[in-house]
Order: sequence, then C-alpha cells, then structure tokens
Amino acid sequence: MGFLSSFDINGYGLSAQRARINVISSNIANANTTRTAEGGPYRRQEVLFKAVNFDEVLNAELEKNNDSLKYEDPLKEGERGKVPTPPVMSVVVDKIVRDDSEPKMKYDPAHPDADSKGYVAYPNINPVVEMADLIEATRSYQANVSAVQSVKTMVENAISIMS
Amino acid sequence: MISGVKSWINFDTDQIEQLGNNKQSIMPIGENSKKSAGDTFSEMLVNSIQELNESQKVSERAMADLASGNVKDLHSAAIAIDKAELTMKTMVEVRNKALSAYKEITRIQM
Repeated sequence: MGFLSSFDINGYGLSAQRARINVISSNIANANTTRTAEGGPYRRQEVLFKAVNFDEVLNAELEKNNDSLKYEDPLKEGERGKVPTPPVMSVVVDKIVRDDSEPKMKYDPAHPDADSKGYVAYPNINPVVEMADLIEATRSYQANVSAVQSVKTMVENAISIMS
Repeated sequence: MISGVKSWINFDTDQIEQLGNNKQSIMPIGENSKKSAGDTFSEMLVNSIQELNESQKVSERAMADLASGNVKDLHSAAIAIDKAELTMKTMVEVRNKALSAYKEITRIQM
C-alpha cells in the first residue's frame, strides 16, 4: 500500500546503517591485525552510500504529473539540476572502499612481522575515530527507526479518524 | 474467505449503485488508487483484502524466519510485521464502517 512506502525507504536506510556498522566493527576488530590475505597490515575500510530510485512506477508518475517538482534557486547558486530526479530516493551501500593512508609504524624488533629496521606496520586505524563513526551509525539507525515510528503513529492517527 | 466477501459485497453494492449513480465522486482522490482499485467498490474492497492477505503472509514468513533464526536483518522482519499490523487495522476499520452502514440500511423501516 502506498501509504506504507516510507517504511521501505527507511528500511533501506536501516540496512545501509547496519552494513556500515559491520564495516566499523571489522575496523575495530582488526585494529591490531598485521597479516591479511592481500598482504601487509589490515587497512581501514569505509562504506559509500548511494541514493537509488525508490519506486520506478511512483517516480515516473510523479515526474510526469507533478509540476511542483522544480528546484527554486533563490540564492542563484547556479544550474545544478533543474528537477530532482528521481523525486523519491532511498539509499543503498554502493561500495566498500579501502583507506590507503600510511600504516602506523611501531618499533618492535621482536615481532615476527617486523621489517629489517625493526618496525612493524600496524593498521591505519584510530580507535577513537572508529568509535565516533560507530556512534554516528547507531544514531542514524535510531533516526531511521524514529521515522518509521512516526509514520506508524501518523497512519494510526489516520485510521482513528475512521473509528 | 475472499470469494465469500465478494458475494456478500456484490449483493450489497448492486443496490447501492442503483441509488447513487455518481460513484466516481466517491472514489478516492489519488491517481494511484484510481488505477489499482478497479471501478466498483466491491473490486476495490476485494483488492485491498487481497493486499492485506499478502502482507499477512509476508509477516507470517518474517515471523517464521525470526523464530528459525533465518532472518538476515532484524529490522526487515519488524517492518514487515508493522506493515501487516497497520494494513490489518485499516481493514478492520473499513469492515466496521461497512458493517455499520449495512446495519443502518437494515434498520430502515418499510
């Protein structure tokens, strides 16, 4: 039913944030990993989100029959797209990218993975940054849940008009 | 169950349609509903009951997946169940309305 489509939109959001939390968990878990299948220390990963056409039928209908779908440009910021296409978008995980910044070098000659100078390459992961990202992802998840709950309350209110 | 409802509704609406020929004005506002709903009230009702049936099935599957540990995302199960709940609530309200209208008609003194 049409009035429940925002459930699905936020459902995508929830899935995306969950994927993000998985990646952050992987970063935290591997904060000290010096061996990987691709060789060298573990490298930090990050997710990229991408907006997707939520409902092709609905969006085609909106684009065809809705003349309010035109951006106003009060600040004259330039022509960056005249209309929102598609009008209703949801989110998916587009890619998981690797952060190729320099690994942290620690002096530890006794370590099996130490190089000839006695330095060990540790992952380029800052646990503080990861924790901040984790909190952000959790809050985003929470925001999506709140949106779902709001829609639910709205629909329930609408139903209560009938009774 | 659906066919039973259909016959019951048909019995009812055939008479109602004779009373008021302007059913277009009663039909819902959005272009979406106009397309999917068919043109008679009974078809609309049957369609929405079928939709309700679908969402109930989806929610049943989601609950079975939850119970058996097959679920990939907890929230998708929760959303499916929420949807089924809301659709059910809507249908119950519509049924109540239809029934009270029917009762109102049966109470007419001849």
